[in-house]
This record gives sequence, C-alpha cells and structure tokens, in this order.
Amino acid sequence: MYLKENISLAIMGLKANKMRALLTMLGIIIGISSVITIVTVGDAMTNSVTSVLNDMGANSIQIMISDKPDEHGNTNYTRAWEDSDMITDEMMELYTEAFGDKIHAYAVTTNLGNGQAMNGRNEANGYVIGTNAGAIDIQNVDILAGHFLNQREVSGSKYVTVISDRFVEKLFPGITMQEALGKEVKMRLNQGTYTFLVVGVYHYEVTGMMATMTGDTSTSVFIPQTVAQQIAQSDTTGYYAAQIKASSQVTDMEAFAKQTEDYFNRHFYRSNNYVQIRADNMDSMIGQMNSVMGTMSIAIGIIAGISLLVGGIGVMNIMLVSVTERTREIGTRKALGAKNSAIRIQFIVESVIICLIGGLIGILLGTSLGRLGSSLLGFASWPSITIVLVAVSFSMAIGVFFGYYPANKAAKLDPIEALRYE
Amino acid sequence: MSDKLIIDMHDIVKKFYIGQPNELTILKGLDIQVREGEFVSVVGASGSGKSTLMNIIGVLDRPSEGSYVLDGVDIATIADDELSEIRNSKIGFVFQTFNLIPRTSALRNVELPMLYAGVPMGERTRRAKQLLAMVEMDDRMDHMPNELSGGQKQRVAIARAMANDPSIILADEPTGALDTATGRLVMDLFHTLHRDQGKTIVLITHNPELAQETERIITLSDGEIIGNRAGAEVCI
Repeated sequence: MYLKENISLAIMGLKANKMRALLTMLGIIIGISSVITIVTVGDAMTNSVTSVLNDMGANSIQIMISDKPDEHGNTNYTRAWEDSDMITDEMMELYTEAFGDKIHAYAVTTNLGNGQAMNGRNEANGYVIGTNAGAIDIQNVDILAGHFLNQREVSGSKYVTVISDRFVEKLFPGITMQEALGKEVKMRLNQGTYTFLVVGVYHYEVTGMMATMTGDTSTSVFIPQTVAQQIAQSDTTGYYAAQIKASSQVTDMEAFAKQTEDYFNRHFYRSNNYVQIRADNMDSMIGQMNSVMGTMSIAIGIIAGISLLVGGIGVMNIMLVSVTERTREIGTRKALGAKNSAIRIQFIVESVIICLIGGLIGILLGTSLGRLGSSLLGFASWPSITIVLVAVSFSMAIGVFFGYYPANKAAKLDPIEALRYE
Repeated sequence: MSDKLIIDMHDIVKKFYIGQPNELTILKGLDIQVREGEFVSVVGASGSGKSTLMNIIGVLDRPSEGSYVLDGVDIATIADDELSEIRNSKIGFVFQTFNLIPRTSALRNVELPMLYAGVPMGERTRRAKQLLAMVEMDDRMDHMPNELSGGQKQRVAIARAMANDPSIILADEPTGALDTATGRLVMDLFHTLHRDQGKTIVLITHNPELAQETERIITLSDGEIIGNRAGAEVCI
C-alpha cells in the first residue's frame, strides 16, 4: 500500500550508502551473472555440436574400423592399420544386398586434403573429397545447379566435380551458378594438376564452430571416389569409415547400428585379429552430448546456488546492520502510527530492491560475458527470456527470503526501547 | 474549553519485572483528567515517572492496572495493532530530539502520519504544505533534516504532530535541546496552537518556568501526584 514511498525510500537509502550497497550486491551480481554466462555459452555449445551432428542426419549411422581388443582386453596400438583392414566397396555392396530395403544410401569418402584451383588471377581453395553417389543423401548437400555425382560418373571414374557457390564466386567472379556448369577447373592437388568438369554447384552454409572461428573459406570439393583413389596413387583401396542412412523402414536406430556392426564383424572381420568395426548412431551421439551438458548444468546450478546463498546471507547481514542503525527511526515511525506490517514491508522492499538491482547488474554482466563466450564458439547467442525472467524472480525471492528475518526483527521492536536507543 | 474529557485516567499503576524479586512500581495509582482544549504540563525530577506516564498517555505502553480512556476510547480493550491506529489518529508526538526521519525531506516527514493513515497522495501533500506554512517552514519544505537547525527541525516536528489533527499534542521536553531564544519560539508556537486552534496539549518538562506558562501543572514525585494546580499566568 505504501509501495511507491517504500521504493523511493529504499533507493534514497541505497544512494546514501553507495559503496556499501554495491559490496552487498556483489554476491548476487556474481551469482546471477555466472548463471547467465554459463547457460548462454552452454546453449551455444549445444547448438554448435547438434548442428554438426544434424548435418549428418538423425537416421544415419557411422561405421569405422577400430582396434580389436585381445583376450586380455588390450589393444595393440603400435600396429598400423593395413590395406586388408579397410572397408572395401565389395563389403559395402554385400552389406547393401544383405540389408536390402533397410538401407536408403551409404557414403564412403576418401579425403585428398586441400587443393588449389586457379583461373587466371583468381584462386580458390577447396577440401577435396572423393565420394560416391550416395553421399548426397548423407551429407545434406543442397544442389543449386546441375546434379550431384551420379553412379555412372563414379563407376566410370569421370573427372567431374561438384563445387560450392562460394568456390564459384572466387574462381569465376560474376557468373551465375548455371553458367558455372560445364566450366573446367584446373586444380593443383597431391603434387599434380588435374582438370575437372563442373557438373554441379551446391549451397555452402556456414555452420559449426570451426568454420566461424577460422573464417574458413575452404569449402568441400566433391569428386568421384574412384578418381580420388587414382589420384591418391595408393595401394589402399578401402575406407576407414562409411556413413549409412537407414530407410524409413528402420525405426530403432540403435538396433540397426548393432545389426550392422555384427554383420561386418561376422562376415569380414572374424579372422582379423587386430581390427573390428564399430557402429554409432547419431541419436546416441547426441544423447551422449546431452547427458554431458546435463551434468554440466547440475554443476553450474550448484555453484550458482552457493554464490547466491552467500550473496543472500550478505544481504541479510547488511539489513540487520541497517535495522540496528535505524532503530530510532523505527521507533519514531511506530510512534507516528506505523503498524508492524508497514515496518516489515518497508524493510523487505529495501532488501528486494538491493537484490533486484544486483540481479539486473548480474544479468547485464552475464549477457555481455555470455555473448562474448558464445561468439568465440561461433554461435553468438543471447540468454533466453526464460533464464532472464528466472534470474529476476530468483533475485527477488532471495530479497524476500533473506530480508524477512531482519524486517521482522524491525517490526517487532518495542517502540519505547527504540525511541530511547542512542 | 469544553467539559469533554480527552484524557481520563483512574488509578493508573505501572509495574516492571512483575512477579520477580526486583519488581518495581513506577506509577502508584494516578488519577489524571484533561479536558478538551486544555494546556497541561507534567513536571517532576528525573526518576519521578514522567517518561513512563508519557508512554502511557501516548499509548506506546499499557498500564499494569487502572483504566485509561483516551478521547472516548478505552485503551484496555484495544488490540496491539489497533494501538498504532490510535497513536496515528489521536496523538501528535513532539520529541526532545526531534526524531525527524533522516534522508527524508521536511515535506515527506510531515506527510508520514497521513501516509500511515492512508490519506491519498495529493491530499497528503496539500495538507503537509499547509502545516509547514503554519509553522513558517514552507520555504524549506524540500530540505533534508540535516540541512535544518534545531529550531527548524522542531517546527517541522510540530507540523508533523498536527498532520492527522490529533486529539492531543504530547510534547516531551520539546525545548530541551534548544537554546533559550529558539525554545521561546517553539513555546510560542504551542501557545498559538492552543489559543487559535483550541488544541489540547500535554507538555512534559522538568523546567518549572515553562510549566508556569501552562494552564495547569501536574507535579509528579516518586510515582505519585503531589501537586495539581493552575499555572501562574492563566487561571482556571
């Protein structure tokens, strides 16, 4: 009922003791700002990792060769992987036949590393990946013009390529994506120079923390994997890993991953003493990450809780000091007709205002720090409205909770004693 | 002066540490009547029970025994929280040490009793300005208490005591902290309130000269009334 008066009185009191008020608020400021910062940065991390994983697709699994433990459960790390350990095209074909309708597509890749394309003075860098026709369904490639590598081009070892819109802009400034089709790209790669015919252009989207952090201009250049193996000139004709996208028939990705793993190990790796196949699905990867984030959130919550508790005790302490200092004022107010409830409200309002100002400073500080931290991760984010509202109401709640005891002490003062207090 | 009794006390006893070995009886059965519009002083040496009596008259404390009817309200039958309403509406306190609320302007100090009475903001400010004009402090109403002299503070305090148009002004050594000249001005202000507005005033003092200016002097000694006579200047 005297809310407006109480608020202006509390603010006047705080102004008169600026340093003391600031020190009192410090605990609240640190508590609230650390929560906001960490939640913002945590959100950015989750977004960045899930966006990487989502690029691979939720109904995809990845198989890769890994060391097989011996009977003692140890793996021999000194042995290098050999040709005979690799995943081969034959394996993938047999697997596709065996699983039939369950498989939508698979992608195998041979990475050739960075290549440099030149067209007069224009240069463009690309990360050259040999892959098969199935990759379009796995890699989430968004074709703007032309087509992705097809089966014919791959099995026929054609020197064709699919490049990004960014690559086109750098190499052939001013032409449309459509005009880029049929252009020849001369590329220095693996100590040789090769010429590829552009058959497709895809849209390059800046995602993931690495791309943003490094300002990466090197985009993927897709070529048929058969060509990549020729260029690599290696005896190795297999792959370390392959991505498989399940068809809509598959509902349980975990079981699918397990079946795939078992199939490969039973048919192709039973006699291999050193290497086996491991399969992971994206859901389980995202799940693992979410559980890590969950654990982190609990840890953050505990830290924030402790600092807010300490901050709240600080507020209670200063309120008790304030009640003692103002004993005479309280006595006077009571003599003038203030009810106990009016005195109680006055001091609770004061404590809530201290906490609220502290909370608001904390939110500002936390937002800036969170913005800074999240942009370093490449996912600049603002704290959510929810967390801001939670922070505001939580700091008010601290004010009420830790202000109640001193306020009640003030309300219960005997007016005669209080008026006599020196 | 009417015949209406503002203060009607019968056989007031105040004891401390009741039931303990050091039980202390401060007031020993006082009968005090003050009529509407009277200017009464209570005098006595320190330890005579003046302050205790003032606390009881001001409804800051309750008597251990006896009856006290203040402006028609029997204090004995009233709940604690209602006592603050009685103080708010019926009593205007003036203290020796002024007791203005620090960091709060003169105007806001005068508004305070009206705030607790629930008077709306505009009305509050209007009346507070009037009262400050009455004590000739309207030119300093935005000053903080620490920017005012002792006499100025006491004038603001008197304006504040008048805020809810109380039944009595209860002044406890109002000139005790002031020099003679300033004290004189404050006493004149009480006389004006008494004469022009017919205010009932109870003045508690140890200064016999000030007491002589009032209509009636009640003398306390050791918790008993030893004198109840008219003042020198005014005869009843």
